[in-house]
Amino acid sequence: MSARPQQDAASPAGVLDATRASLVQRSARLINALAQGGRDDLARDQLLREVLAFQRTAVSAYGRIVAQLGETYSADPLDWPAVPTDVFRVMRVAAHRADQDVKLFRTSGTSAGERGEHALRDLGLYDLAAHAAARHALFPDVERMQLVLLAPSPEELPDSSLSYMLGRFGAWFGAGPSTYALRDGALDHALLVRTLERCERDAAPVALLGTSFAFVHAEDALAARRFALPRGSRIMQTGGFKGRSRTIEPEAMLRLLAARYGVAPAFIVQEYGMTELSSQLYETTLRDAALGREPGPRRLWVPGWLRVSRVDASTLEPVASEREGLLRIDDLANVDSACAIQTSDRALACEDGIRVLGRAEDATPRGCSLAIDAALGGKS
Amino acid sequence: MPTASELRDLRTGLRLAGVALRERSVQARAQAIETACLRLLAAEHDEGRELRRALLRSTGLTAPGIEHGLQSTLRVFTREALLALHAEHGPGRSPGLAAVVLAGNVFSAAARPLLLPLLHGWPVLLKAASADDAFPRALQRALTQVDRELGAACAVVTFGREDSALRDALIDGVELLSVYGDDETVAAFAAIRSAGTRLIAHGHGLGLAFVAASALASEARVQATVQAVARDVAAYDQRGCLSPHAVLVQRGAACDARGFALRLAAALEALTAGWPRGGLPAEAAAAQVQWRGVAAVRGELHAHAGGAVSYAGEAALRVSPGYRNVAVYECADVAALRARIAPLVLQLKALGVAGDAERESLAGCAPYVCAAGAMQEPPLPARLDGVHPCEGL
Repeated sequence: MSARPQQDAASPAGVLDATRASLVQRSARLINALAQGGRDDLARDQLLREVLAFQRTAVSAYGRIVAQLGETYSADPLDWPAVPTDVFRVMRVAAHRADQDVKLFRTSGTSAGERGEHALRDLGLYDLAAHAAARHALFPDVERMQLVLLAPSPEELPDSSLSYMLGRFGAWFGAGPSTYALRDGALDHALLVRTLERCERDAAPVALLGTSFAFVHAEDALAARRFALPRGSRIMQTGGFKGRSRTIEPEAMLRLLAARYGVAPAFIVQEYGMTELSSQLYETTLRDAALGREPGPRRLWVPGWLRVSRVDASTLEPVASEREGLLRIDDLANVDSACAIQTSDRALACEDGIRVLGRAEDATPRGCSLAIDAALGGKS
Repeated sequence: MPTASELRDLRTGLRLAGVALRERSVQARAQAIETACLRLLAAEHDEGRELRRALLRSTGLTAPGIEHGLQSTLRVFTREALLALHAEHGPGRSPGLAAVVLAGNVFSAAARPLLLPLLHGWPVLLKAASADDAFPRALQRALTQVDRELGAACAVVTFGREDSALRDALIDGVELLSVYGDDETVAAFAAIRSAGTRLIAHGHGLGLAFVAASALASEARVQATVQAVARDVAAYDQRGCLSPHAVLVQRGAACDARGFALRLAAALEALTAGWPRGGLPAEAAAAQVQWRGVAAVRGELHAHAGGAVSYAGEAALRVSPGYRNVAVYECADVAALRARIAPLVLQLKALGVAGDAERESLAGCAPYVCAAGAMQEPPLPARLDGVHPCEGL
């Protein structure tokens, strides 16, 4: 295999590479600086402007979005439109060549088989952001603990960003090897029970982390079996149900989990993450409770390197503070793809954080839209 | 909301009313249906005025959109057309009780399943969408005012789709069941119907438009074709199963697909002044954001306050979120069109074709093949789901 020629630093590509390297370095510095929960929104926004300007040039999908959706927007890059998540399903969204990918995270896909792809040129910023957010919100009171995961391992699902993240959690926060209780798409009920019983017996707090639908499967499989997990144990659930289990309302889910595992509700938190992002948001209750603070309303903590806004779905303009809007997240850890991500999640501001109300599912009156999508589907 | 016991009583009462209904001649029934429709068509009549007010509250459409829906739906129910349809269908089955389950996307969808059984002497029990029952209730009231026997032979109820006891009571023992809705709804009713119940499924689907080069042969024809397609997109704010989600433009015309997309966007924007788009539900707005983003990266997007048109060359067809968001694609010719729509054989309900010869050659490619501009204005005999409008009667 022949090596690619060295990039001429003065060439347009060379300039972009140098810009990218500088942005990665500065983003990393800012994430590190804000990892303890601090804020510097001026610095964040200035860096975001530079990343957005870089991506407009370097990421062709984003350049097209700005050109076609952003013509009425101001010159301030923060006002430029974000990349709707569906774009990741139909086009590569990356500032680098495919042969430079070190990781390709894929969404779980639609019936049409279209899966969104998030290409990463390096995992440094991802790891930095994931570690900082989890340390702050999920493990603020403990260096390491036993991890039990209701999610596939990274070996089983190498293109899942969640599995990757949980795999890294094992190295960063785990006491001993992690236990993966979900294998080949099925819950290993006996392993889950055995592991949790051992934690009970040894009085060893455990972090039970997984997808919402896996928790529902566990709920069904465990039947009358209940646990009293040692004090300090915690639960993190993430994602929706996506037709993979019955749907349970968040409040009911919280009650079920608390009763099933004997974990205080404050120590049960939601994580909000998506394949298209490199950063995650966590509910605040665990940190507040662990540090002995009065917990406020249940809400997601927004790390300082994220800019979260809610936009009107028709105009894409920011909505007033009290109004519901579609969640837009600008993530400084996404230097190599698109930092401005437009989700379909409805959200409200809540004190210093946000509350996600759920996905604005496509309710256009086409009951067989999934079947039609399947018939039509295909990447361009 | 009725109880299960009330629904059973209602069924019994309707069967009795069916006897009196059949004592009316088919001519009298056709006349009563026409007169009732005319009463609702007349905006100056109390019934017509009240219906329009109710539809403004319930449908999300603007007044011009509602007027279009009423006019294009009700004006085809003439005595003459009804009698012709009756004669063409023949005597049919021995009349029983018809039950109808409606979806909520297009308010006027109630007309055919409510009125055609009555024409054939079948009483009708119709379950409307809870949030959108104004039109069938107005039809029932208008029928009552015109002809007490016809009005007594139909009833409109609403209840939640999850209420299985009421669902059972609605259809228990009926001879004909028409279900409009998604595959899940149709399957749910199919599973619980009695052995003697004939099911007519009207599953969801979509429409497409094809613009032949011949329809773009002169500036005048380009203008007329663009206007016709814009009307199809605007009707019911593109929420109907007959609405076009994509427009395929034949290559080789003076106005190519890219140019057609621009012209269509301008026509839709112009149309907005007299026929504005209705409210955009949050879910549809979110879908619109995603669809427009994909459209922008795949080709060209021409968006305005009242909708958007994308141009995507020969990229794979995608379903639009409706609400006047439509994609324009290039297509080599009729043969290429056939190949592109082949995977949609189960979902394609309507094909609007600009170009007379091409329309003839495409007959049979969809249950309803019509001229561009007429996609949401089907004549009474149109086989909208591939079956005769009086199928099962």
